[in-house]
Amino acid sequence: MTTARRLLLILRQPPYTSVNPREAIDVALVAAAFEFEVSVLFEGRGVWQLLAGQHGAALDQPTHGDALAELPRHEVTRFYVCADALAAAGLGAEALVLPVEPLSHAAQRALVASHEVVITD
Amino acid sequence: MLFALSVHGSPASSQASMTALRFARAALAAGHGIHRVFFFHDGVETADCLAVPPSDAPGPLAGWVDLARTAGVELTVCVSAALRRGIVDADARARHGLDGTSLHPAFSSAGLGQLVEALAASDRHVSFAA
Repeated sequence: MTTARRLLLILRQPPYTSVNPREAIDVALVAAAFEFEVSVLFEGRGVWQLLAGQHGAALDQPTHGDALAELPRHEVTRFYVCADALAAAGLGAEALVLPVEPLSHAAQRALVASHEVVITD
Repeated sequence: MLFALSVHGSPASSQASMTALRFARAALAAGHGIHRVFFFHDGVETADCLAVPPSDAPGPLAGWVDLARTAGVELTVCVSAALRRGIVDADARARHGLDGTSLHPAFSSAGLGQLVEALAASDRHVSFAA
């Protein structure tokens, strides 16, 4: 049996428009419970998941940012974001629910290459 | 080579499940193995045996069922993703007091642990998003 132990979860979809971001967080939690080293990369409109001050109750949904902020308590501690996508959304690193490392496109390619398993939402 | 596949896109509104089916057939024909096909997100709708696709685009369900029966490929839907989309097996029907079932019997339902186990046990993982 091959032991692939580094997993990268790429989140590309905004919160609240579909259930995919919430379901994808469960992949991170379960993979971490199975002793994968889990990294999460936010790209495209997925960067909106990181916006601080979300209020899901207004949409009768759980607050997605709260679920993201819980991840470090479950052994998911490596968070990256596409620097261009963050800038395009007009978001600064200080306005986010998690400490994330902005990456250039070249650095994102290297990140993908350094993981045995890559899964997108 | 041993593959794990995951299908994330709806069969009704995306090509994801059909593309995954064609990939699975090609991989088996080339002598590779498929550890499991895991259906997640809207991909669980692949297993809905109450859907009625149009006759000129019959969809992937029959192909997946054939692959399970002829090649023994394991088909698993994520149970929580399936329940919220109305893909229900007999257990869930009884537990939630529902009127009927919609999960095709060629599929089993299980938790995300079965996806992660497949990732760990296979040489390659390919996901098919919408």
